[in-house]
Amino acid sequence: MVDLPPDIVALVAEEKSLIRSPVWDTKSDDRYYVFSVPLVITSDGTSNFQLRVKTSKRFVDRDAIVQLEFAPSDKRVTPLWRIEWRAFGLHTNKLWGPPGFELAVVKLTHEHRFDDNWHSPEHRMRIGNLPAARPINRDPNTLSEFLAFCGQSFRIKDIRRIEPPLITQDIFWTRDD
Amino acid sequence: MIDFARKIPNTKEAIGEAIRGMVNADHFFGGSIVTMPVLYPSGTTVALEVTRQGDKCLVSDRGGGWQEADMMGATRYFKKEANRVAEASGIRFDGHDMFVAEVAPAALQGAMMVVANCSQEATAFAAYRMAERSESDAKDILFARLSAIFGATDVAKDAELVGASNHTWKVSVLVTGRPHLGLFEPVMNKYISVVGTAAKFHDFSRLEHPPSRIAVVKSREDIGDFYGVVASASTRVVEQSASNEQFLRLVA
Repeated sequence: MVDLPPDIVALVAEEKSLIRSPVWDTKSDDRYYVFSVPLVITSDGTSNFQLRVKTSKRFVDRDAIVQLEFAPSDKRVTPLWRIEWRAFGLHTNKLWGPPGFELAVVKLTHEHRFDDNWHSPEHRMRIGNLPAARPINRDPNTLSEFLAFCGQSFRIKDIRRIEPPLITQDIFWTRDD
Repeated sequence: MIDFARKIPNTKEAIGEAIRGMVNADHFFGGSIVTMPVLYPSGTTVALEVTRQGDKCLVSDRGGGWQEADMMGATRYFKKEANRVAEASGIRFDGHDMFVAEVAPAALQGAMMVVANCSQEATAFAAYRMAERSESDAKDILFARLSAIFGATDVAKDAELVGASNHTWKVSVLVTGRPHLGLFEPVMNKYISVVGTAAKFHDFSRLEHPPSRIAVVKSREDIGDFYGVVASASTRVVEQSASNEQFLRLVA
């Protein structure tokens, strides 16, 4: 397990910015456009965080993931906060889930908040890839709105530098109800 | 949120409702996406993609296991585990998706269960492997430290020792040439690490002349409530930051 810095809670809450405009990787995944980009803490210029984004090649109105990660150069990446837009999989919380969401089955848009997954007594993230989640009340209608929401949550001031990829709805993956 | 105030007439209906909620299918012209009651380490259900292949079907985990591992930074471990798990179950892994092709409609239920469980299993193993890598790092650090304290000739890494059960165990670091044989195990705050060490130490404790069994933890706080599990099987639990003198006294 990667040791997180003593002031990680404060750092997560700090304002951040993208180190560069990200470029979508269109080839490495058949179903998703992806990128990772380092983030800079505005107040001190350090860069131990990164933003990872995956968005569907097939669906224009769902199936995107944005994750804030602790990523110092000499250590493994540690997921800190993940937001999922209209995911296909359901999420199930454990018995200790966020207050009010214990054992909840969370559908569609939801977030695995840092503070819900931070185990303060032992200064670490909870075991199991951000196992606590809660629904998001205002479900973003478009990918741009979703990215803006993520930027607001993670305090990334220039999130609008991310240009959503041009996605056309795949006829093959059009609903057949 | 669970609405406990909502009236459910009887237990049978409640169970029926719970079961109906466990599986869900979204149908598209080209195939279906089915959520299964099998959970990845994050708590997300496995979602399968079922597409037509003539009069048969292809069932895939749509790369969900790979994606779960990727978000944890564990794709290297996942690929190894997915290959192993797929081979053991007779399904396929193409480096990204776990799947089974040409499934007859009558065999669809079984195929969906197998692919979902393989995807989950490979991901869970990948998470364990990541934890083991941390242990391996801790083992190397401990070996170097104890070699410096006791002298390299009296310290061995991954030594094999037979316990009271006749099972042969690998001991992370073994110290010889002292009044007591010293078995040192780095213990992480992880279920697999704690339980593995406790089982090993319990077996050695039942020998006629039990060796010193020393669990080395990052800190008392780090090990949390696993402390009692480890301590009950160990001669001593020490912190990594213990002084050289403290380590010397452990096998004096």
